[in-house]
Amino acid sequence: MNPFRFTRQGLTKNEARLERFFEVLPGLTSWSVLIGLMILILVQPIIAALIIIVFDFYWLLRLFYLTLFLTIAYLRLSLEEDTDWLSRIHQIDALKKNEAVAVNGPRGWKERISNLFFKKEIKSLSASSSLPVLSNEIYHLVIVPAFKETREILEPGVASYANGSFPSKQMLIVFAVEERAGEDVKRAAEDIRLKYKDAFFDFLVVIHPDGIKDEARVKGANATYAAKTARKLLEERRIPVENVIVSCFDADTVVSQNYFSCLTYSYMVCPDRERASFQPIPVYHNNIWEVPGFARILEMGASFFQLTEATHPDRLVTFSSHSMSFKALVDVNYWPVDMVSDDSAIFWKALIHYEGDYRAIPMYVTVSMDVVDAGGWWQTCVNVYKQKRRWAWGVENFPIVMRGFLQSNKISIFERVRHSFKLFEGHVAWATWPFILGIMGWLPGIFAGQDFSDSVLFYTAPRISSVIFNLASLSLITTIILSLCLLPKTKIKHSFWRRVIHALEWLVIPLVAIFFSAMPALDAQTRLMFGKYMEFWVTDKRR
Amino acid sequence: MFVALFIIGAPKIVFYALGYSYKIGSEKGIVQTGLIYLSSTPPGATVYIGGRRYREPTPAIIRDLLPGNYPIRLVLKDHETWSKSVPIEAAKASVLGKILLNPKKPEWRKRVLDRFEDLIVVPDTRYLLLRKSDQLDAVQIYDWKQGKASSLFVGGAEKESQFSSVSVASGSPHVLFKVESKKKKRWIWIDLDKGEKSKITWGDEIPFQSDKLVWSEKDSRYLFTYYQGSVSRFDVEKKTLVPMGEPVQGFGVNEKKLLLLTNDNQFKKTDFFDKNSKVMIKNANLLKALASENDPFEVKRVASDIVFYLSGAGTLLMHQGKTLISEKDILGFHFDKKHRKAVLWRADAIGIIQFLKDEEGDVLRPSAKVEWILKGARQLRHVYWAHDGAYLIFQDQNKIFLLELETFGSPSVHELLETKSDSQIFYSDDSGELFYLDKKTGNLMSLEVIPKWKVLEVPFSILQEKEKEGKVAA
Repeated sequence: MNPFRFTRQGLTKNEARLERFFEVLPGLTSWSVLIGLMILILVQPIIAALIIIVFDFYWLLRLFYLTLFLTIAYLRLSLEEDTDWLSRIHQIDALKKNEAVAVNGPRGWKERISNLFFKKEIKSLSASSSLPVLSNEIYHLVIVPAFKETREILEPGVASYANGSFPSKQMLIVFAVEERAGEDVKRAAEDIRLKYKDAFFDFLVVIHPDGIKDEARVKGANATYAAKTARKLLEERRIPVENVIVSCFDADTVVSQNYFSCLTYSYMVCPDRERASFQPIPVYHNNIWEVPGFARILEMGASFFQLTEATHPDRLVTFSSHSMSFKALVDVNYWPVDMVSDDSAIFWKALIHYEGDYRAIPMYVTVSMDVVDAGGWWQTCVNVYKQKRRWAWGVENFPIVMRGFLQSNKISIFERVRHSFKLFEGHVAWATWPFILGIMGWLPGIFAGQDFSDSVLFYTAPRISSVIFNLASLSLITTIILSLCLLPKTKIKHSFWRRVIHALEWLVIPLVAIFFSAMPALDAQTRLMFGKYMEFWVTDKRR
Repeated sequence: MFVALFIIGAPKIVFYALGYSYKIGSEKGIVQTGLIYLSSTPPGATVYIGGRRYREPTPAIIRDLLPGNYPIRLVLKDHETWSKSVPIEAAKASVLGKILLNPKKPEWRKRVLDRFEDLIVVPDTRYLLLRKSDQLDAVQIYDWKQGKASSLFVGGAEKESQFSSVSVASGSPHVLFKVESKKKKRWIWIDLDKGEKSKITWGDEIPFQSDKLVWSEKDSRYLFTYYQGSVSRFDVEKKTLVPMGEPVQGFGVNEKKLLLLTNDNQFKKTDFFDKNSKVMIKNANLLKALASENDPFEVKRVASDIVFYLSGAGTLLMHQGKTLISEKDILGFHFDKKHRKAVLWRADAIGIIQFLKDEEGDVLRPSAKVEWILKGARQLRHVYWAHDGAYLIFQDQNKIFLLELETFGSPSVHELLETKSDSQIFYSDDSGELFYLDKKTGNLMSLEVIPKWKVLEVPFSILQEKEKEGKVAA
């Protein structure tokens, strides 16, 4: 195990220097790319135009690549829509009991393909000689950090846990409420506890005291305190941590009926289940028809990104609501208590702790959350911006991960470079690509001097860009179709024209990408670059 | 697979963008080509290059052309065929972006049916003055934007008055008539926007004398007169004449400032009361050149960094930063602010001078020279920029011509019409119309030189969509 401390606190002089260097690097790179390209456009427009053409082509290929995998992931998601996970869990139990595993005979093409995946996974599990405990010995610890969420936000999630296909009596629910939260929040948590406690193994409301040493006012500190409290209860009840799967959910998370069955199955079938996180597909459907179009598009984009990532288990990093082995969580000393982006930080923390022997397993099941909705249009814009900046603040992981990788001897250089590059490139691309594609790509033509405007390139560059963007629209059309398939059916039947407008909302992507994706990302990186650290900021959500 | 696609595709795209093409036949191999961009007014002309007819009409981009000279023809129904030989260089675009296709039957219109002797242009306004005779009540004003004509003096008060001269200023709707009879002299100051009711007159009781006269479009209350080496300010409303003090060689107005070339070798800018003055130039070369002239110079600041000085004897000095260009026998000039170029003309020649921005050039750079593009004219009277600086319309004696500038050889000249002898013409690039007096009837006529309603402003990106890649019609 790597003793690396996943924090920016209490560093030695050299560590602090290294940390600062890696804190500056992403922001400096993003600004250098943007400013450098701008200077190049003004000074050497021909070279700038060629670079932009090559970049556009690279982006197109990446887009096709993402679209391909998005389609595959969507197909897999729809394939597993009707899977009877509980039945599969029982079949793994049968394997444990040395009973014959009976895969149900295929009824439709979807089930037929799904069964192929199941057979492959069972085969792999059998070969691993790492059979799990029986499913009736597996418990779920669900931690729901809350600060200012009302009962309307909190209760639907709890109801979804209770009403799922997995036995709720094997579930311990913990509302992790901040001490500084309002009395109404605490009362709501207690009311919900009283209403649902009998449905679960147990239901705790844990008040997280303010001002614990070394903690920042972040969600991870709250969740960690709740996890430690739950651990004591589990020990009292003699339930080993190895048999517990912990899920840390945003307060607005509503799980699908099969979530815990699918999670239990994924946990049981994974040979390295104690060194893994389990990532569902986050969707933002709770209030998706009530929010402005741009917010809907943005959250659909986030869902799609995660859906695409799900097709690359070797690249997957935990995001938002997710689950993991409780043992792993205890081993790595819980979530970071001084970082905003605890959801992805826990993955990196575990990866470094286990010297690279840690993974995120995709689950083809959804958890639904709220789209930011602050009531008014402008206020929603501000809140969406702040939420995306908080997401982009995940860049705070980069310097710590880099230090961890530099201190690690056991993770292969290839893996370290692969992970570092993905993390670094992902953040720089997030902050720069929309600017290059939406604005800077058109500037060489606008600022063209005589030399450039008399060149063949001046006339061919817009044509090439136009062909590239036309081809990119194929991706957009695919995305629109998938979005329409994935969106929940509206309670009110929308007219044909309303549906057309919903589809056309995707055309605002260039603006949304610049103002609610690249700008917050650049903002976050710039803050990190100048050492202006962020604290957790709870977004407004309403139903 | 995607990496392989990128490694193979990116260089191919870059080569394509730079004009590289794989040719078969005698030129077999990879060669760098050029292209031609053709855009016509009206659009939709069929493109012929050599013997090949291209399927798509103008605006068109013809790519993949090997370096060399190509005979180009544009053919459009009811229009005269346009043809040129265009050189193509590797990696370069030969741009003919403002080709004007002349209709076989010009669309002229009768505007005012009276017989006029001359038209007087009030520059940079919507007015033309139409003169039937020297009598004031025979003067009509014509609003060319609205197409309306009306008598300037209708009350009968000026029925017998004859004017000997009329002064106008660029951009100002005010006109100053000098009325002379055997007994006395009179001046009539009138605002064309307001008509006869705005008339202000003064006579011999005021010592109002001028060899040159200017006023500002921004403040028409003051007239500035030059007489015997000194400038005076005349307050039109109070009818007071105040000498401005120091002797000058030249003067002009620019917005609400008076520009003075003083005899003590200074070019200064001052307010209309000469209270806040600022020395702009103390340039020995400039002043040396000016000192040789006896006539007063009219000073015109045509751009923030360019000043023109035109003497009555025809010496034109153009001054930009450290650059000073002098030409003799100049009759007039027009400055194109958008393209920073000026056309100037002598009786027999038309020249063009292109000004670069300050930071782009150095002292006396090659571009800041007058290029005499047309020589051998008989008696040039007026020249106008047309079609966004791509053409010139000029009047040589009584004939009006269209001169195409955007060519790769000598500018081509096309005769438009013949006008009434000794009458002025007016052309507006906003409307694309030429106003003139008919040769036979003296009626005010207009000719649509640039068919504005047909000009297709194609956004560049859309334009690219219409690019033609050597698609040859079957």
